[in-house]
Amino acid sequence: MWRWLLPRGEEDEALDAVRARLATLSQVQPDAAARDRIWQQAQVKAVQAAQPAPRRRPRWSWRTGLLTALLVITLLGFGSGAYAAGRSLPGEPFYGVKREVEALWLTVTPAPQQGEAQLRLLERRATEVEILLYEGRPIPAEVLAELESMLALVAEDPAALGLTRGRALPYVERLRVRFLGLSLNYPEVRSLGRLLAASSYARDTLWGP
Amino acid sequence: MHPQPEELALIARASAGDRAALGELYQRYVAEIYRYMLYRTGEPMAAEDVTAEVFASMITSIARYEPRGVPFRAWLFRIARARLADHWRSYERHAGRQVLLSEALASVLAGDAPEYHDYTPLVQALAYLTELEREVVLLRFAGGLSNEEIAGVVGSNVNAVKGRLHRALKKLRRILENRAAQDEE
Repeated sequence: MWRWLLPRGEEDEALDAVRARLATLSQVQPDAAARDRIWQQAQVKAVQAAQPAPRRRPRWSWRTGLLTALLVITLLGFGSGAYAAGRSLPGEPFYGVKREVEALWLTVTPAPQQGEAQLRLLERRATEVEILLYEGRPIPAEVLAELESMLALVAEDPAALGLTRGRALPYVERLRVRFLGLSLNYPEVRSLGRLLAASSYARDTLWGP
Repeated sequence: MHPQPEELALIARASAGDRAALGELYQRYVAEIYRYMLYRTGEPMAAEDVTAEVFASMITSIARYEPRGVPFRAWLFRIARARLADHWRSYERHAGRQVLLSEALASVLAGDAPEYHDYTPLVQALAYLTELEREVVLLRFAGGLSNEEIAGVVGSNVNAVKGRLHRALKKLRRILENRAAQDEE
């Protein structure tokens, strides 16, 4: 039967015996071949550790995926919204956005290019009219009024827009030709006559003495 | 225990990249580290592999060793513990952090052990100790570290190490006597 508790002297002797047995653990030695193997392996590992680690491809986590998906959805949302606004016509839901973007564009356009920017927007309005007619839709009165007033301003005071007469004339002439063509294609649309008249007046005024 | 001037000179040469000095330090400490790894992993092949990792770390980081900090042997054993943790992490053997008497280990012990000692009950008894008790026992008896060095390795103080070692020895004494009694019956 083994004993849990021993008198102090016996306890010390028993522990010394355990120590002696444990001391035999240190008698195990790697043999010469093992020593050589370990040293070779250590040197190889040290060289490998000293070399720069290859760049890891970033891990694809669910969080990255979710953020990417949200970003794509957001960009698609903005992108499609902008696309829809850019192609919208008067009377359509996104048309207001399109006009706001144009106003912003005009705001950031440097002063020397302001006149030409206004003329490009005038051409854009003419394109909208063309599409409306092609789709058999009426031309809103405010669009007609805007075109007429802009053509009148260009004709009578191009300097107010930062334009010279020579710079404005090609734009106005292009508009006149477009309205002439539309008048011939859509003779039943009387408002086209007003646009043709306004553009002809502007062309003649700019061309004049 | 502080390094001898001769060892300090050796470490300085090794820090400067002297391969012969590195080799000498390796020969000086490989047996202690290997034994510690052998009893900790229970697998001679794993012990060789992790020992190689320890000395690879010695080669790459000896330039950062500060002689005025821990003794060189304790510094090496700190590396050994870290590499052992890496080994267990990579093999996901957290549950098996005990001395296992694998057939390979048994054959190594049988080959080197004196005839009058039976390693089997001793190594098996070590498995009944707690992680910290086993750690100090193996650092003391397989690694050959002093109590001061063990305290430096495990981040404890000398009195705590002495107390832990004493408790571990008493526990081993009971386990070994119990086993001997069972064998007699």
